[in-house]
Amino acid sequence: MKILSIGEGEPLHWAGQTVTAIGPQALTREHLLEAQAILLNPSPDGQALFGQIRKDPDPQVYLKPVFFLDGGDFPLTEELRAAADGCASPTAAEALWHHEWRTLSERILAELARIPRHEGAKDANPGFKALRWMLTRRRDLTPMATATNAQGFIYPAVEAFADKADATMTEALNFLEEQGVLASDFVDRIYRCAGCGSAFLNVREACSQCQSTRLESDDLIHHFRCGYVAPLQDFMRQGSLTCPKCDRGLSMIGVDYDKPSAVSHCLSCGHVSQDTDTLSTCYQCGRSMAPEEQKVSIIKRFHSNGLSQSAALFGLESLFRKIVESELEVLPLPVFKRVVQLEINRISRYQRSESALLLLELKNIEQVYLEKPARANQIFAEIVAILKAILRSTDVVTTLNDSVFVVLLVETPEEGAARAVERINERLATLLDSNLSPGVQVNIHRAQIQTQDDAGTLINQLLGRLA
Amino acid sequence: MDPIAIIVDFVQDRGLAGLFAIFWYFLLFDFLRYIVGDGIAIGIFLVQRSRPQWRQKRATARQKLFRTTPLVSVIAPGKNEGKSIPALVESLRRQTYKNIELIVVDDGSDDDTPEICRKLVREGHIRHFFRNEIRGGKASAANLALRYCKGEFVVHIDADSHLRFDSIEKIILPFYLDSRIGAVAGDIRVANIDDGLCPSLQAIEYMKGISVGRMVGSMVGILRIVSGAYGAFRRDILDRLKGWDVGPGLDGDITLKIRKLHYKVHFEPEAVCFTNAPDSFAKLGRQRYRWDKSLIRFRLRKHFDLLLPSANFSWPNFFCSVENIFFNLGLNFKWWIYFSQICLFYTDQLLFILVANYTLYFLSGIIQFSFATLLLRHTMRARDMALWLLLPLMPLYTGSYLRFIRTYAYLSEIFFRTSYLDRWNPWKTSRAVKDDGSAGISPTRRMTAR
Repeated sequence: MKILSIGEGEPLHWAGQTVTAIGPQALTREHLLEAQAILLNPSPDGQALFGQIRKDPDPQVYLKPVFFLDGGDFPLTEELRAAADGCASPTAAEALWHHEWRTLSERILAELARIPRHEGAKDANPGFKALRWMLTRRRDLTPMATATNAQGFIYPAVEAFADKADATMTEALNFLEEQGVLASDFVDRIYRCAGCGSAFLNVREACSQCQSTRLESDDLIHHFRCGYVAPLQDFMRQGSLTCPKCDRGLSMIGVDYDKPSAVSHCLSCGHVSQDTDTLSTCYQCGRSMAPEEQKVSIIKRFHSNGLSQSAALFGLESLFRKIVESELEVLPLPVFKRVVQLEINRISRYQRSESALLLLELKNIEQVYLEKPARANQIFAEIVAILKAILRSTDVVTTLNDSVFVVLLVETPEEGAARAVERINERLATLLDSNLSPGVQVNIHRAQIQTQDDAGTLINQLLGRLA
Repeated sequence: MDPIAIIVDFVQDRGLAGLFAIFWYFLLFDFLRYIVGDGIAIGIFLVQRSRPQWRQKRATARQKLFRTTPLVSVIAPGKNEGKSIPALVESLRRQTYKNIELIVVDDGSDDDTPEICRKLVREGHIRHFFRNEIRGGKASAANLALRYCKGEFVVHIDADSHLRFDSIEKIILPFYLDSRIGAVAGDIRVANIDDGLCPSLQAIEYMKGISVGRMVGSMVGILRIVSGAYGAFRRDILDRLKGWDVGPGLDGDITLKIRKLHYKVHFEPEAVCFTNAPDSFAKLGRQRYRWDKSLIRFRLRKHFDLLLPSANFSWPNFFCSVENIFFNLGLNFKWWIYFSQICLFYTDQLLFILVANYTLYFLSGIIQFSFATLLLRHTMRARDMALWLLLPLMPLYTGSYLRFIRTYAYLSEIFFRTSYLDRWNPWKTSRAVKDDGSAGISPTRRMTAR
């Protein structure tokens, strides 16, 4: 097996196993593709390299088994230990390799080999990458509490797939669960800021009158003998409890006195009450809120189900295409071509009307999964709603792939077609700009149907205009 | 035979001395005390209050009250009274006097009292709401409220009561008429007279006994109780006494302690409070059994020093205790002697004498209720007038039913100290007081006049 050790330092010499050493500066993509297992040192360079490997869009790179050689001046965090496929000191690594890591690597590579290879294939969706990681490792995704992420926990094994240390991975996994591709078990419940979603909240009592947190709480003492009730401090006399009313000493709680309740005293406004408000303030954004305003999230452990493996191997079914097909009258391509041909024949025969063809491309539509996985359904539905509002019941639609659609606008002269294009562009741009960062592009090409046209040729001409 | 003829024969046969020998109990005590004495007192009271000087003095005091508008703390301790609190809140909201803070203490309720009261706190109707998960008793609940109230005057009210619209103003006003007044008793009326015979009879009893009786006691200077159902106190005096002692009878107890400080105790008939009375004779019996024992426990035991020459001795306090002990305890047992005497020595005329006594007490009741109506005419409700129809039952009610309960209460407290076993107080407090033999301020601490 080809082991690649990346880092400065002495090369490793393992019995019965060749370890190729290379410095980080000399590392190339080919090295990563060729290696069957990767060893990294825990230095900042090594940790950064781990992130780069995991962020690579090629499954032949990001799914490679990666092991850390721990120790030295750079101790590994618990998150990184959980993220890597293994972690050991340089002296113990060789034995571990022969006993565990080799077998593990072989199994990972065997699963990796099952994943179909497509020229230039890119896995950008962090949720999809996590799915493939679970396939190759045959492991669940277990959450880990951490202070490094605002949501208070991460899935360390797959966290490196996300670009930022935020809730992106969690949202992606929840989205996969909604699509039925993952299953989950309840782990814990967490309360988060209503504004930014941070789990780091400062929770404390506040005065119900002025919301100040300068509160002092006093236990009340009830002296049975004389019925006197007062705060504990009123009873303290030279280190022991003495009733200020009857001058009797209090000996034992439950026998001659008890503590029926406690009272809070606000040092800001002087308000006295047994009931205080609970105030939460977010450490991240500074927003203050009542407990009932906090967002409640469930922390889950994700595991595979019956659909996970096929989804990991062959990709997620196009959600957008599903929504289009359910909301609009979508014809299969051969049928659509036949309809277009009939329209051409009709126009040729009667010479009284015009019709148009539109080619609509939503480029980089997968960015929705990346940026807003939890709202992908909603955004796609709104895109389709826009199309549905502009298109007429007499217009016919077909899809060429997940992001390319062809529309026949019957009885539509050139001006009308131009107007329809303008409206679609305007409304889709508004929707996409307000929800996503620039990246998703709407390209619409149109052609008027001429009497001498052939349906297939016309559609191909439109396709030729795609970038 | 003609009843008139029977009566005439009886009177002629006995003569004045003979009649006195038979009806001495009524003539010496009830007639003199409740007809002659009360009649004179009512007359003086009404004349006094109709005089221009009195009206002017009262108007001046009222002006001063509303100019200074001191904070009045209304404290309402109770258990499982949550459903009544909104009515109390509403009656306070409608008061002519506005500078009021309400403090409610929930003493171990197991119903929805906390939820009701917290809602009222959020709405700004209750200033403080305190809840004791474990019941501590009325005294401790009242003392907890006292600890956190800020008013110059403290009004103690039962949580299931509500007030007439001007009641707070009327109960505070006496403090501005006489600076020597330390506590003012309000007039307690039965709110639920529509709930049946039992509360209706209590309504008559309250009007006669509380309204008239306490008015007379206040005029003479021997008023012995500011009822816990509705009473006002000077805050500084309560602070000095450090609140109430463990009951039952804690209201009478604190009144005597205030009297020992040589403050006056006043009754104000126009400060009206409506409270719910027991609606069954069984409940009423248990209540009176508890109340009546306090005479033995507090007046005979704890405050026996009022009868003795001491540094705290005062004639008004002496007569206050004597009057209470004599008319309630002494005459109660004396009645049994009288009844025995009648049974033993007038056996053949027993029925006639009982009927005659009953008639005398009935006629006396009419006169006493007339006094009450005269005294309370400005604050009576229209349905109170229907109580006249129940007057024929009052001799049975007070003369028999309440007398039996009172006698049993006195005997059980004298011989068995059963007040310490009363579940009205939690056992933890009763046991502490019982083990000690008394309650309240240490005997070594002397109460000094201001």
